[in-house]
Amino acid sequence: MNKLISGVFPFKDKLIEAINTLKKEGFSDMEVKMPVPDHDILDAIDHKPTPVGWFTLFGGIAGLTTGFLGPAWAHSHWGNVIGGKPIISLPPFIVIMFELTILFGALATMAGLFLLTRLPSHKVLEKDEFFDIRCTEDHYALYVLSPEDKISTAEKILTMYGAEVRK
Amino acid sequence: MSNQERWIEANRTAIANVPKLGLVFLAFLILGAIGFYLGVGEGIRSLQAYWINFLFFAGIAQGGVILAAIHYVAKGKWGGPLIRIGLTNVAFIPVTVVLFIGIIIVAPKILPWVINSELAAGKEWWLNLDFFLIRNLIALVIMTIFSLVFAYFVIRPEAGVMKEKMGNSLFPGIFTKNWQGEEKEKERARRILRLLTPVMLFVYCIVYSMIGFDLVMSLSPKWFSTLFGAYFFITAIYTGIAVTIILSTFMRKQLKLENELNRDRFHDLGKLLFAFTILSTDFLWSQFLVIWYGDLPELNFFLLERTSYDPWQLLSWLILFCGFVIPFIALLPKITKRVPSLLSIIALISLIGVFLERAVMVLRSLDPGQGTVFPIGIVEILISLGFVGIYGIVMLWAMRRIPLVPEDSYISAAH
Repeated sequence: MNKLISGVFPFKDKLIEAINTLKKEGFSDMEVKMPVPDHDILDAIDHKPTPVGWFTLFGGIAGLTTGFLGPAWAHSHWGNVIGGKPIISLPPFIVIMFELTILFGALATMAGLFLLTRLPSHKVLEKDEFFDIRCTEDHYALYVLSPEDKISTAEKILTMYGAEVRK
Repeated sequence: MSNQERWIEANRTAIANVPKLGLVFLAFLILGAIGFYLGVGEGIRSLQAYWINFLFFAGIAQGGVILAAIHYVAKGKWGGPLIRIGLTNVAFIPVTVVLFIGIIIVAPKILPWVINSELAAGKEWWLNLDFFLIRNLIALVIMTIFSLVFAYFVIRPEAGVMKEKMGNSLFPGIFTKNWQGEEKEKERARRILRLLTPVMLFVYCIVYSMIGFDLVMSLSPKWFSTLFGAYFFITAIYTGIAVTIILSTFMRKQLKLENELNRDRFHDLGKLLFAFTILSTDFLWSQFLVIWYGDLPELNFFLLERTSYDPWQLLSWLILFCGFVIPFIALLPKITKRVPSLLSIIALISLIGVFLERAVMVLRSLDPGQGTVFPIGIVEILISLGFVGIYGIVMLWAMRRIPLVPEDSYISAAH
């Protein structure tokens, strides 16, 4: 039976040291709640890439296609020859394709983020008994999932690096 | 060891380990001379290859220094030795002034508006040979002075500090002449650079715009594009970044700088390369779209002769793919930016793209009416190798003479 234990850190470097020590002791299932994304911490806990990137990719591809199909549709309906160019010709569409790629990509990223974090609802946070409001400002909370017999080791390491422990 | 001692040690090992490849590059130089000789019989073939390579390598050298200047102006700390390797290019800039003598000799033989003065009708006040050569020479000399002073005052405080700590200097005595103590020298360097660097960046834009207009655009005197100068100096920085990446990858193990030239730094410079890939293509595209849409006869011939017939059509597609499509797609994932060898392969592809772009811009203008022969052959490749030879010799010479690991970056990389 695994149990969850959390420690709140005021400093980033102590947090990273604690993560490294925990990893040496064989703890692998860890999560950090932090006020801003931080690559050093993400690297330390061997963070796997989030699936949000896929939303961006498909949003971008959708934007690219729309950026081509929209003007192509409009041009083929209007049928006005401009400067002797073919009615459906790529160069002027590229600007629109580019803009819509970025727009749709950004919106899809937003949507993906909201979907994956269930954002407008607070249920995830309410269920989280260790949630600390300071993690939205200037503190870092480290959650460690540990087997019941090793929980005291985890607690000892967390306290050693100056964390406030909850379990 | 304190951070400072480690920093000095890193510099000492780096300088001691600069590879001794002078003979290899000398061989390249000889190959270049052979190539030039081979091309002499075929009209202006060698001369135009010289012209392209002059533009390309002057751009690389100045672009590398400008990269360092931008890094300095923005108070960047992320670059570390990467930016120093960019700054090493400063040694090649006086050489470009010397190589400009070649341009002075070549210009009357290849400039279309000198051969046929009707082409410059109405523009004689700007397009006349004397003014052309004098203004470009002066512009290059101004940039040389700016670059040398910039590099001198970036290096001087560090060289002086090292001399104070070690007793004897690792670097040429000129860097530590009249040394007045660390505090005072650092303050002086900061005061001078604070004014000099922004001015230098501004002058760079003007000078390299003019070189772009004069040495590339004037070869097709009827054609004009206002953005061409900006496009030229942006691609010069692009090549400077690409060469910096390639040199750093080669030098990483040799100079024992694996700790300092770490993956995070390559990641950052890779992002900058990615940005310049997009920016230079944006500038190319902005010119293309306007000409394509307007379809005015005084502008569109320039594109038509480069994009509608083989072999130029093929080369134009290669430019688009090597300069944009391949680097753009390849640099999207994180891994390619973090692995130096992968990143330098991509940098090499984009360098080939820009080189082909210079070649197509210049060569197509110089043989109007023919344009059916594939323009890049053994002569062009050998002459380019010759330029690689000069560049390599100068860079190796310079790498032994400047501190390759900057002080501030070493402290931030030490944790």
